[in-house]
Formats: sequence, C-alpha cells, structure tokens
Amino acid sequence: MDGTKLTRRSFLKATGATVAMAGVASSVAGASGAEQAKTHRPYTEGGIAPVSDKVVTSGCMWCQSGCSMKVHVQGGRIVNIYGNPDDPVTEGRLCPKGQNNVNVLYNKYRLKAPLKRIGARGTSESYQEISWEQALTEIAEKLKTVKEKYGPEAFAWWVAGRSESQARAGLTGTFEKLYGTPHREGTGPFCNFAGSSASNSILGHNNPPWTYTRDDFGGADWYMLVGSNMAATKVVTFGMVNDERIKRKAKLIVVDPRMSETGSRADVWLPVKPSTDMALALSMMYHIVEKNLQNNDFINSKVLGFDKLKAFLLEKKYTPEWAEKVSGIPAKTIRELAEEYAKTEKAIIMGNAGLSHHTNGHHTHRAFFMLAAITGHYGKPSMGYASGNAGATPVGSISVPAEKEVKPKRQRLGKSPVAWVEPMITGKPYPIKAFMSCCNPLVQWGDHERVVKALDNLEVSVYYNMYPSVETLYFDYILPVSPWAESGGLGPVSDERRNVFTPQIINPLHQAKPERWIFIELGKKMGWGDVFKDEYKDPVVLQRAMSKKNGFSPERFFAKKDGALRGPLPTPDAPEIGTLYTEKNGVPGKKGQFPRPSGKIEIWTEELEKAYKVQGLSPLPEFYADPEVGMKDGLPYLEYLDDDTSEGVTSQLIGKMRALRVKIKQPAGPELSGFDMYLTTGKPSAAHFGDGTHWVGTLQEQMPDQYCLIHPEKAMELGIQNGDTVKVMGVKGEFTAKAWLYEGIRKDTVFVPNSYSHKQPYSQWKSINSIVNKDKRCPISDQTNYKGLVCKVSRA
Amino acid sequence: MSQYTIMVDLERCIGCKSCEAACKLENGVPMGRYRTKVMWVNPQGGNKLYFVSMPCMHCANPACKESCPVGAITKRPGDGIVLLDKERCIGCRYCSWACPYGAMGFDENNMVADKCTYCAHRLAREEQPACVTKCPGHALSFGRKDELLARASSEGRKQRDINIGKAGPSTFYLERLKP
Repeated sequence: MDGTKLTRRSFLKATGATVAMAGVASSVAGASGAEQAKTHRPYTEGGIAPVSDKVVTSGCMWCQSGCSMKVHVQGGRIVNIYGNPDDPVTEGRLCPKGQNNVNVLYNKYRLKAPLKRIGARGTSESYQEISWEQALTEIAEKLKTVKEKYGPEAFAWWVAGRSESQARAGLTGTFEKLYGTPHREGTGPFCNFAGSSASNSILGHNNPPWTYTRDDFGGADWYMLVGSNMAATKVVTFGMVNDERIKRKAKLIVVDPRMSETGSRADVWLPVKPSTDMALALSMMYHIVEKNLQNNDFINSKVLGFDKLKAFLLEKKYTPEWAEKVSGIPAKTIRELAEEYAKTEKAIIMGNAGLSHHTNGHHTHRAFFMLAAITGHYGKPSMGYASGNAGATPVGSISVPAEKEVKPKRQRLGKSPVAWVEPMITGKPYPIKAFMSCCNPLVQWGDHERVVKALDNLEVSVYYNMYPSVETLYFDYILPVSPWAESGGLGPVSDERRNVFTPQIINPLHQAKPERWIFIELGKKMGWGDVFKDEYKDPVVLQRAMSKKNGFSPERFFAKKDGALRGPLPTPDAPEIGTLYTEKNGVPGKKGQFPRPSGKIEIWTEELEKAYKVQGLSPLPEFYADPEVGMKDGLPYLEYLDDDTSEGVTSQLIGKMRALRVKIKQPAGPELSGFDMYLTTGKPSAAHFGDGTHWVGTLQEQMPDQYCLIHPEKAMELGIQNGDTVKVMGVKGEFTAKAWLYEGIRKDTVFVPNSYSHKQPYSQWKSINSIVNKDKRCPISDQTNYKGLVCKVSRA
Repeated sequence: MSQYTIMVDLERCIGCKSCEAACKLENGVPMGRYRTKVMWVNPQGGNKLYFVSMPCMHCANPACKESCPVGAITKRPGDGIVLLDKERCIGCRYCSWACPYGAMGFDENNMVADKCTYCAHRLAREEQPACVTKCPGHALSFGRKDELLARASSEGRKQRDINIGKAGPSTFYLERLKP
C-alpha cells in the first residue's frame, strides 16, 4: 500500500511542470463566473440549481419555529428553498429541515395511492390499492356504523402531524362537532402541553411572552435554558440568541443531563439528574425568599398567593442543599443563579420538552413560572419564563350550524390520545371503536404491543400521511397525503404565535391529496356537504371563510413580505402584537394583563386549590420525581389511584374531561434494584423531526443512527467501545443503539434520541419508546413519561 | 489579487449542518457525498463540544492543484477561488489524497473529482455562497479575506492556525471564546 502511494506521489512531482502550464491556460478560460458557466461543464452531474423562473414566499411545514421561506420554482418543479431575508425572525436563515422540504416532495418513498388492508396486520402484502372513492365511501360507512352502535364518543381522531395547520384548525373541529365526539387531539400531549397548561393555570394564557426577535427574546442579558436543546429544536432562533450572546456578552446557563449542542455554547452547563428539574426551581425560590430577594412591588400589584408559596417553601425545606442531593446541581451554584436571576432585569428562563416529558411536567413548569413571577420577570420584552411549543392562537374554523352540532353525552377520556388505548381494548369505561391518525402511535406511544392490540379491537382505523411508516402495516386504510407546497394552507404555529401562509405551488404528486380535500370529501360522504363545501378545497377560499371573525385573512397574509401573521388576532383588523403580558398589550382578545380571573398571576388561590385537589394535588408544586427514578432512588413519586379504564374525575384545569387521581408517595427507601443508570431522550439533531425526516436521505445522513451517548468511564467499566451496538434494558423492555462515547454526559445517565423506528428506509432501530410505560403520565397535562426512566446498558 | 474567503466562527457554529444541506441543494450534491461537511468534535478533558464546518480552503498554494496531472484544477486570478474543470479531470483522485483538509470529494457517477467552488455561479450573480446565506448561527461570513480578518481582529477574536505545510488555507476559523 505504502509503495503504491509513494509511486503515485513521485509521479505527481514528476508532472508538476505540466500541471503548472495547464493551470495557466485553464484559469484564463475561466476568468469570471459567467464565463465558467458557458465554457465548463456544470459543477456536478446533478448540476447547479437552475436559475428559478419563479420565487414564491411560503412557510416551512416542520416545527414550531414557523420560518418563512423563498421557494424557487423552475418549469413547474421546486428546485431549491432559501430563507426569507424579509422575515424579521429568521433574517433569511434556514435549518436543514426547512431546505429539505424539496426532498420531502420529490421522494421515492412517498405513499402513492390509497391502500386497504385485506389480510393480517404486520405485513405490506396484506394491502391492496383502492380508489379514493372506494376508500372514503367505506370509511364514511364504517364511521356511521360505529356512531350508531357505540355512540359518537367511540370515534377518536389524532389530528396531529406535520402536514398542514389550516385543514386541522379549519375542518377537523367542524367534523368533530358534526359527528359528536369529544376525542380529537393534536400533538400537545406529546410535545409541551405540560408547559401550555401550566401557563394557562398561572398567567391565564398559553403563549410565551416573547417574540423570537433580537429586540425581545434576543435582548436578554441572562439566559437559562432548562431541558431545551434549542440548537436542535429551534435552530434559527438559537443561532440568533447565540449571536446576541457573543455580541453582548450575555450569560447562558443550560440545564440538561447531557451537554447538548445548546449546552456546548453555555457559560455554565448543569448536568441535572433526569426528572428532578423541579428541585432547581424550588430551591432557587427558597433562596430568593430566604434572602428576601423577591420583587415585592411586582408581587404586591400583580401576583396572588406569594405568602402561601413562601410558607410552603420554608415548611418543605426546599433548600439548595436539599436540591443538590436530589438533582446533583451544587447548592453553591443554585444560590449564585438565584441571586443573579433576581438581580437581572432582562433575564429569560425557558423550558421545553426536557421538562414536559415527565410525570411532574405540569408542576415543574409551574414552579419555573412562579420563580419568574416572584422576581418580577413579566411585563417587558426580554424577560419571563415560558415553555416552547406552547400551542396555537385561534385561527378560526368553518362554523357548524347550531342545530347540526352533536354534543357528546359522555365525558372525554383524558387529554392524551394514549388514554384511548385501554378503552379501545377493554371497552371501559366505554368503548372507542374508530380511530383516524396522521401521526405515529406505533413509534410515539409506549407499550406498542398494547397499541397493536387496540387496533385489532377497532371496527375501523385510518392512517393518513406521507410515508409508509410502521403504521401502514397495521391500520385498515392508508391514505396518501400531499404536504405543504402541493397542498397549500398554513404552516404550523411557531412558539411565538406566528403562522405562515403556504400557497399551493405544485400539483399533488402521485394520487396523494391535501388533507383539506380528504376531510371535505369524507365530510360529504358523511352527509355534511352543506358544511364541507367543495369551494373550500382552495386554500385561499378556505382561509377567507375561516377568518370571517379574526385577522388571519388571506389578504393580510399576502400583504406581509414574510407571509406570516402573529396572533392572537381576535378581530379582522386587530393589530399584530409583540410582547405579551405587558400592561399595554396583555393578551389581545382577553381581559387583563394576566387573563386569570383575578387579572393577576395566580400562584395560589382558593379556586386553584380546589381544582388541583380534585386530583389529589395542590397548586403549590410539591416535589416528586418520575416513578422509576423515585423507586430507584427513594424519592417521592406518584401513585395512580385511577387508570385509563376508570371513570376517574373531571379535570378542573384543562377542560371538562376525565382526569386521573394520584397520591404523592414518600417511599421509605429505594424500591427498585438492578438498574444502575437513567435514560433520557430528545431529538437526534437539527436534522430530525418525528418519523418524517427519516425518509429523506439528505437529512437521515446527518444523523443516521439511533445512538447512545455514554460517558467513557462508564463505557470502560461495561467494556463498551465507541460504535459498539449496545443493549439498553429498561423496566418495560429493551432496545439497541450505537454507542457514542461522550464526556459531556452524567456518568449515571445515557441519552438515546427518539424518532427512529424499525420501519425506516435507511436504518432500522427499535424505537426507544418501546420501553416507555404509556400509563405513567402527568396527571394534569396527561403527558407521557418519555424521559426519566431507569435502565442498564450492556454490549449487544 | 484579493482572496475570497469564508470565515467560520467556531463560537457561533451550533452544529446544525444547515451548510451541508444548502450546498447539496444548490450544487446537486447527492446523499453520501459532500462539498462541505460539519465535523462534531466531542467534548474532551474539560473542553466543550464544538463543530467545524469544512468547505474547501481555497488555499494560496493548493495541494490539489499541484497534484493534478492534467491541469484540471486552477486558482482563479482576481479572487483566488480554486476551481476544477470536470471535462479535463481524469478521475485519478490524486487531488483527494493531496488535499490536507479532506475537502476534495469524488463524483462516482462520472468518475471525476468534485469540490466546493464557493458557489462561483452564485458569486457571478452577486449572490453569496448558499451555505453562508442560510447559516442559522451567523457563523459563516463570506468576503475578501483582508476585510474579514480586519473585522475579526476588531472584535478581538483569535484565529485558529490550521495551516498545514505550505498550503496556506484561505478559509479561516475563529477560535472559541472559551474552549
């Protein structure tokens, strides 16, 4: 080998003179870029992206960043996507997912035609192509039969997904009301409904105070990101914040069991023990009230329940020393952070799924809201606490004539779609027999065998999406969906309340159809053609009809250079508002600076006390960890007094629906042995979002495998080397992943990213959610306990 | 000649690989091949995780150019961009071996080398390289090297020395503020 190399290099030397001469000739020929294009072959076999004949302003379909985009079209084909320099949030920047929307469309794996299952579940051989007419006729007939046999509450619809927000907002609620089911839900209970429900409970509204602009979110002097890998989940925004941090020497603290991409930029990285973040908020508050550092003026005029909170913190002795023992964050650091935060006016704390994916998600968020409230961090730009992905602002819908609306007679069974599984299997407390989904229950929900069993018990199941994910081997009907540029509509709402209007740019490919078209045709077959009008198949017409009473009209979208509108826009001419919860703005369309009944921030009131007590909890955030962590370490955890087959109680906090009662158990000591590590999870990198990105080769190659971050010392102890396939065994089962030896993680914790599955085209991994216990959920928000599990790791 | 360059800020890069995606779409680079690549450098010995975006260095003395037996690689007068003439390229891959930065790719379909051009076709339209315009981290800046060096120095930023042998890379890196 070496000999060959040497010979070739010698040859190079020998020919050096010739090279130099040829070089002169060539560079003369290519003196300018324009000439290059004429005289040289294109730079690759694919060729450079052709100069577009049309550039269309559009929005990205993926995440809650709501980026405006410039879509380049040539000859009716989308050839490239750039950022939109006229977008004040993105400043023309785009993450890998946004750009790869091109490859989402022109993708060989797309679902191409409607399919019907005619054989056993679990294999693609059981499916045959059918026409749209046959598919929708049969689905409508089965939905009608289910309604007659079991009542309208027996139909459940998971309307979440990465497709399109206009059809979801505008039409699925209409369908729900005409059918009469209470069971329609989005992604909230899998993302950050813990955060939005906490925000509602204390500020009176779900949205964060800030906008992702330099003068608001970008303008703080002190940031603490808790359980938020913004660099991967809100890429462009974190890029801006990081830029501001460097320019203005702002301080960044990142609280996360692993040094994420975000943590790698931090001045202080705090590797907290999974599921114990609440202890950080509680002990920071303890130190603040002990040292009298709270903002009394703000509290006196704008906060209810501070005295109760103070007494509670002192009584429970949530000291920094206690928090150090529970969370692993040094008491000294907690004191310093508390003092810095209390004294810095422009200070932002943000939480995200790292807090929400726990049984204590709601109360952890509440504790951080309280921390921001008692230090006066609301009312101006560049301050506050909030959770990312905290939900939409109303964009309107097609109204249902009052005489046609069917009111459900039975109470909705839980907030999370996961709560539907047991009623599907057992028929208790009443049966659910029909299920439509555009998301991935067989990847995202825990206990996958149980979910398959639930599908077996249904009279009809329908999956509609873009790619042949694992669900396409189990559902009865598979419908191919046309995403964003084929469909037109609205991009998903951003954290900071923006939707971008997405025009239809190209015709649907294959036999795929926009969701809007599917819902209208299905609605017509249900006999509701007078409500589901054909004209609504045009996204502009539908948008106009949806915006009769609000400000999200097509004309207002088109008048904006970024195609984006920021809610709430409660009236047609309501102005777009920046920072929320200011004395001037409050929340448009709602009463008071903080739209709680009192108009103030409500930490504790008698009404709240009653509302939480129904489920066995208090508005004051008593500490408990996730069940597996609690059992392993002897920390308090939840015992569930009801389960998904129970009548339970009616939630007084998140809408009238069945909620579960719990009790905080104080174990005498550890109750679970044999597991020496914690498992935490999150997004693999900026490349991925749910199942969908794994079908796009140029995204998949950016983070191709389900990896397992493990500390090198722990790996050495276990005989694991970098790149080894390791087995991660939890209480509910096991999966494998590729070891990535990484010093930036707690020695007692492994991180394995979510969203991989065994039915993806480029790499196949059993989903980590296969070891998630679907029954362990936050009793208030109903969020699943994805993070904060225990495990042991070995070489596979 | 006033050399064009990309200034890569290691403090601003957040590892998102948007530059990779931008390059691929703009230049038709397929899955599995790169004209620019982001390396994640693991945290080690107390140093934090960081990311290195690696386009072509468009060197002052390009090893690829010197190694090419048929003169297919040239350094453009006027802006110093190193370009490859694919019609002249014989696919010998000497350039890939010679490049000390691993920047030279190979187009297996046409059996020719493949490299970053700083998006010369976009520059001709007075547009910036695709990777630079889309960078979420504001970590990539494009321009004349003397001007970017002056900007870095006025912001008190240190440059990382990545010169290998006599290559004289033009693309340059700003060191992290704290490792």
